[in-house]
Amino acid sequence: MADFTIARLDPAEVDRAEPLWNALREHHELTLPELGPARSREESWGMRRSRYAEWLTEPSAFALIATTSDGRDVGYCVVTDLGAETTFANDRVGCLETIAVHPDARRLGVGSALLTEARRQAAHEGLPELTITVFSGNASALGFYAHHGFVEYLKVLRAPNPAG
Amino acid sequence: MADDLVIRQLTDPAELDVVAPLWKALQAHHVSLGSIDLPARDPEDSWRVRRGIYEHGLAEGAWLWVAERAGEPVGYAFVSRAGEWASWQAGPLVGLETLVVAPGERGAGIGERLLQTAKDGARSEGYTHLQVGYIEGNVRAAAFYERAGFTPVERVLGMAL
Repeated sequence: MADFTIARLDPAEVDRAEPLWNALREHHELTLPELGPARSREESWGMRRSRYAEWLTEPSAFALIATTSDGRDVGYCVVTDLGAETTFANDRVGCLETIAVHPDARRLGVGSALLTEARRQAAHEGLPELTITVFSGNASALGFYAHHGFVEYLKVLRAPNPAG
Repeated sequence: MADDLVIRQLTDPAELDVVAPLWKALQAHHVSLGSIDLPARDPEDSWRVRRGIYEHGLAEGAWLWVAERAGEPVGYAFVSRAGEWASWQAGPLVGLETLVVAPGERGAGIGERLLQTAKDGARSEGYTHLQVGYIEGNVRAAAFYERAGFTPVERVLGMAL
C-alpha cells in the first residue's frame, strides 16, 4: 500500500481522477462550509473535467497521477501555464491547479511526492515559477506549502454583489 | 473636488493607450512593495502585455471603466467575467483585475466610485460576487477592500523554479 509510483496522466484518461476529485470536493464541503452550499458530485466533476480538458491542450501543461503497486490511483495533480505576468518579467507561469490525495492514502507522502515531481517536470517544461491558490481557511495546506518553500504572493478577497 | 469627475465605459480597444500611464504607475507601485522576489518587467513591456490582456478581455465582454476629469484619465477599473468554483454553488463572479487611481488623486473617493460603478455593471448582468487580489504587503489596498466589504477567501502562493 505504501508503495506508489508517479506517472504522467494521459489527458484521454482524465476520468481516472474523478474519484480523487470527488474526495477533494467532499473535503472542501466539510472543511469550508462558509463558502456556501456545495455542488453535486456530477456537476462538480463535469465542470472540473471540462477545465482540465481545456488546460491540458497547452503544450507545457500536464497532469500526474500516483498509483500504488496494487494498481490503485491515490493522488493526482494538474499543472497549467498561465502565460505572461505583467508586473514581473516571467513570460510563463506554472500553476498547480489541483493537488489531491485520497483520504485513505494520507500521510504516506503522496502529496509531497506529487509536488516534488510537479516542480521537477514544470522546470523541465521551462516554467520559471510555480504558483498555487489555497483557501485562506485551509491551515494544513498553507503549512504544507510553506514547508515546501512557497511564499505568499497575493491575497484574494471576495464581496457579495446582490441584486436589488 | 470629485464633482467634475466623469466615469465612462471604454469599449474601443484602439483607445486603450489612454490608461497606459495609470497602469505604469500601478506597476511601479507593485514592484516597489518588494514582497515578490521576481525580476520586474520593463514598464513599456509591462503595458504591452497588460494591453494584450485588456484587448482580449474586451472582446470577451469585460468592462473597462475610466474616471476622467476635464477629459484626463485619473483612474480606471478593469473587470473580467471570471469562472465559477467547481466545489461550491457560489457564483457567477467577476474579477476586479485592476483598480488604480492616479497618485495625485488618491483619497478623494475616486476608487470607491469606480468600485461602485464596477459592481453596478456586473450586477446588471447577474453577477452576484466580485473577487479581487492584492499583492502581499499592499496595506492601502488591504484597508480599501476591507472597508468596501470584501473578506479573504484565498491566498496565492508561489516559488521560483
